[in-house]
Amino acid sequence: MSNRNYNYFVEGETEACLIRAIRQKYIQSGRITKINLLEKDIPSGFIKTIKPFTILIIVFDTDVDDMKLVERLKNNTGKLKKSSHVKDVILIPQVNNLEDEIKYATDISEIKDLLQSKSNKDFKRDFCKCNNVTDCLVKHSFNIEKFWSRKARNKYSIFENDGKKIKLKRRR
Amino acid sequence: MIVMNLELDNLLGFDDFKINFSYPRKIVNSTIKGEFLPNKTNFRFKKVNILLGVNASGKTTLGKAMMHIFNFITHKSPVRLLESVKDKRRKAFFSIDFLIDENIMYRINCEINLDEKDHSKSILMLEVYTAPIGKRDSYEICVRKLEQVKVKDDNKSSLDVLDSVKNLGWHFTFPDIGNTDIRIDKDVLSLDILKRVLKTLDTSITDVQKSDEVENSYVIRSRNGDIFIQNGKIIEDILSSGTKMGIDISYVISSICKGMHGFYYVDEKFTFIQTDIEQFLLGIMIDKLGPLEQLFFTSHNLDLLDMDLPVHSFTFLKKDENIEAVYPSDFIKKNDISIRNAFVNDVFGTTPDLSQLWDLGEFCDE
Repeated sequence: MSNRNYNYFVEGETEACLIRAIRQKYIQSGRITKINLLEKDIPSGFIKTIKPFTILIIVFDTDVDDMKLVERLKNNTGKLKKSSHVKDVILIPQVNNLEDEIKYATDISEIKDLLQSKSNKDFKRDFCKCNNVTDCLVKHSFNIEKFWSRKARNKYSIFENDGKKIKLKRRR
Repeated sequence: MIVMNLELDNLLGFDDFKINFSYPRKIVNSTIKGEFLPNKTNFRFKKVNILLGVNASGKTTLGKAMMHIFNFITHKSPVRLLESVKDKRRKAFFSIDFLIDENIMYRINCEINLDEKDHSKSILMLEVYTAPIGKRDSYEICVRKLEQVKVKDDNKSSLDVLDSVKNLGWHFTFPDIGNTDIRIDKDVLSLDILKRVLKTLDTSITDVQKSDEVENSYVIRSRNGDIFIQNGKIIEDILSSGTKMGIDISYVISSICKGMHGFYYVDEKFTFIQTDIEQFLLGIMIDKLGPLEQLFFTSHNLDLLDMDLPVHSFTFLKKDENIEAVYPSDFIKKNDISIRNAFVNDVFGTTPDLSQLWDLGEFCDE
């Protein structure tokens, strides 16, 4: 591992659970912070705490097609890039959300099929309780190259998807 | 004394908790000498255990649990253990594997059925096991050789089985209760060590002298005035927080140098002390540990991760639903990987969750 620090910003616990499960195996390990940078301004206090050589990764949903949200994310990204401690800001738009990303990167047609949840609504709860997420993904032909690879087609299309920058190359 | 394994359930903050102090492979050119039994090199144990973790992750509580267990084994008084039962309606349990010398390994299992109304009516199911340690045995082999010790005399209570365990020694020092041993072990504290530690921590201190008139007392000569320490207690409190800690730290180093206790649990004694000094003094403690001695050292200082120590010396405690021990050595297999960098990138899943603090500024604005 290089001296770089990776810091993920995710919207909710489900994304955090996924990153905890697949880091070191499919993606760079990094610290996880649950904050929706489409809805919240980045506090200036946080910017002072960023360690040198930090790569910030912002994972966000694109299912609410609202220009206000897009503008806020743009604004937050701009603020973060100004910090001399920030080596890179990597944006990962989820098309349209985590469930759709998982479906796209596996062989399941409904998200409840991943963990045999009772309903699609139960998925998030089951996912965070599951302690073998990686095995379940592999069982359903999880393809890391497809995961977090697409660009949104709505107002979020101004953001490139740089997911490949944090994917580990040694394992498929 | 060496603790090899500890399991706690429903005691203090612990549920289904396990922590182990053996390590799998011989480390070539280790900076910690003799992390195995004398003449029994396959019996490897973690001589130095640096426990790190966020606030309320169980570092202090682990020390207190061990202290209660050692007191129970030595004095056969279960009072503290009974008070430590978390859920009074449920059985509590501990199991500890340890050695006092290089010849025998002990295991003590204890199940506690607490009588909530009258603690004295509580039932303790106690089992003591021993295993002889052969020349080529590892800890794992000795675990398989454990055999239960039976009380042969019907007139004896089940607690008397603990008679087979003798000569346990330990020293715990916690930030909240200070160092009570200074009062008791009057000749342990080395004046030379105390002088050097205090002068490093406070440059206004010019000398430290032992008082000729009052027993177990020292005078700290400072440019700001003289300070009197009696039985480890500072009489005129004009020292900084870090310098005050220096008295306890000097005692620990003195007792390690003199091989007084064999087991040391140093809990967050360096909170107010500059990081280079902490690392240096920890290095001295490690170097001076005897062959059958063990040091536990808790800290929040991540700079310790940069010290040239084997990866297995570090253990993180983390609390989600339960407290659990996380070993960086399970994640880092190569020596060229920085433990600190792995920690910062949350490889061990032990960085604090700051999500709650993100909105804090907004409350200040209100």
